[in-house]
Amino acid sequence: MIFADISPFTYTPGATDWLRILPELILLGTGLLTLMADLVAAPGRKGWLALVGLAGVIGALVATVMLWAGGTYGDAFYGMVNDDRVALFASVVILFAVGVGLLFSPGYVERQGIVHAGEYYTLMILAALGMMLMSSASNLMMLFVGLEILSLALYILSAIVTTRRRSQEAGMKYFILSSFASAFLLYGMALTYGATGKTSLAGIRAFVTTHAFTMGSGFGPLLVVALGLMAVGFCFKVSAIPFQAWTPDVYVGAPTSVTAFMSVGTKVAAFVGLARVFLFALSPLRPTWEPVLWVVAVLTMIGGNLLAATQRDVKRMLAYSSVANAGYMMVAVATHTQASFQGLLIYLATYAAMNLGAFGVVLALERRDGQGTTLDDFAGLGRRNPALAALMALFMFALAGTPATAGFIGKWYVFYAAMRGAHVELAIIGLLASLVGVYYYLRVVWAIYFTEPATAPLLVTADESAPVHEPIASASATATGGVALAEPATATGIAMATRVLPAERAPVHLATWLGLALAGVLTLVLGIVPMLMVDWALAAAQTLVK
Amino acid sequence: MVATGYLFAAIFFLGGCAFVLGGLAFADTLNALLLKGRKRAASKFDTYESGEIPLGSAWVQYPLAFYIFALLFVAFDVDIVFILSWAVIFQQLGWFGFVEIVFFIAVLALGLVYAWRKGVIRWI
Repeated sequence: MIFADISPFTYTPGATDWLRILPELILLGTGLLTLMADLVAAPGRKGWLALVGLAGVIGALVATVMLWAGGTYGDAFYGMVNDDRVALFASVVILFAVGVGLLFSPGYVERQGIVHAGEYYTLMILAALGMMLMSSASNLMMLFVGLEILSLALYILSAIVTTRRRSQEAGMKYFILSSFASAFLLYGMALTYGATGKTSLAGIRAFVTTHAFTMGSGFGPLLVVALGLMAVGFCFKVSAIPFQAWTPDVYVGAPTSVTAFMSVGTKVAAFVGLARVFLFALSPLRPTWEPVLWVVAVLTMIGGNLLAATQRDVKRMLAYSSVANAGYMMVAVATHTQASFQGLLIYLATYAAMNLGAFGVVLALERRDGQGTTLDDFAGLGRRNPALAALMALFMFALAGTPATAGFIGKWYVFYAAMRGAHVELAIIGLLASLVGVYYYLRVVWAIYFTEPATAPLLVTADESAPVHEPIASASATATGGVALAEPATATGIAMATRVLPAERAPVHLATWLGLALAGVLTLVLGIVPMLMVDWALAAAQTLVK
Repeated sequence: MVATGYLFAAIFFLGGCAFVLGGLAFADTLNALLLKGRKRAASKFDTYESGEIPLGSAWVQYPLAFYIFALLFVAFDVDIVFILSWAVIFQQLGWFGFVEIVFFIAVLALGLVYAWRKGVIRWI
């Protein structure tokens, strides 16, 4: 008679429910619209799809701000999603990330010769939709659905450069490893349900608050295993050590515009999800999970920074830097106070601005073959392209945590909260680890302004029209930081002819400039006048962590 | 109450099986008694009585593009799973459930339109 107590399902969503997921609905509509618009768009001329997507993102942003200002927060759809201030704050960051990602895209998609441009824009928007759903989930089921929406879209996006092997490899690696992690997470959720009989976060919280938690109790061991499995799943998604192995390969192999977007968006969604499960639903079990996250935070901060310091490829360095940044954010979760959660949200917002910008500069320099992002390629950028160089320097200083930039504000709030929350040791380890970060971030600035390209630019093949055999061309292109543009192979069957242009001639798309400018302005604004964002983050933190 | 429900389901299941099997047995018997020819011929002992002669290895290559058909099939299979579970309680769900399932099918239809336009379901 298991089913005897089930009453008929009578919940009918009203207008309020639909209103509360209005930003998500707008994004969904935009995603379907771009999918259909792709069918009528002429091949090779699909840049305007980014504009359609951008319009949808701005619409969703407006809806989010209106929901924030409107101020009636609460559950929607039978407690599946919750448009509380945490969700709205996260939504704003995610929408900013996808907006800048879309701005980066048209020039990059064209240059990389991505065939599936229409699908690219659709998947970007749908990934953002998944991120928003995950960060607004108030039920384990919805959390997982959101996670899968964003993951599936990102698997394809990672592998979307069909002509580049590394991109294919990135997609495959991400798919296999991430599915594995999803399985862990799902198993953890199933065991949580088994232990508490609830999938809603509020229900789980009520259960673990009212029932004494001991290993002797019937649900105790089950819940401990569930905690561990869910911690594994989340740590993988935020790329915390020891689950970081996929991060550098995927971030380097994926198209840079996708990397910029996913390094920010996935972190926002996964950390807010992690916070909802651990800081809210399982908050009474703090003594059980706190040591685990403490160890993960320390390992990630130290390991991420040390690994990043050894990289010569700036894109790969930024991938490891995102691991290190996950460590700082993990400090905020492990500290588990209202102030630290506020710090986490602030860190996510500031990280979005500076990390998007840093990847944007890398994207502007990347050549068609996916090369051209090492420190040698940055050498002498200060003279070749002063504006790009200045922006990169700004983002590097910000990531290093220099005052008057966004990075300082983020680190300040996280470490201050750690000290207030009786975790002085985490703050000290974090500060020492970020000193290592200063080294590798400023090394890029050093390369930009104080080093010269390895060989004199005279060696660049001046005659652009003369076809050169591939090995010579790519060799000289690599040596001088030039741009190699592959042309269709000639019918005579000679090796693919290439044209070599000096790096100065690599045009940076107008939209890319716009995205870089947005990220740069935000990096400065959040660093100099952060108070508005800090207040919003506090308002958001108060709704989740009491 | 629940047990009775399962009993009914079991009776229906067995009844269905009996109907199909019985029908087949009946038809087969009828066929054997009245309609079957009595001629013995070499072709009777072929693998396929249609005359198709199995030749060569079973390990043949077929177009890789068939995976897309498989994907489409799986998509609609999953579609059926959701629609069935909706159909079971559609009266309780009322108009909300109806609108939801229509929306779900509409999104799936858009996917089909997309696949169609991309030339995915063209016969090779």
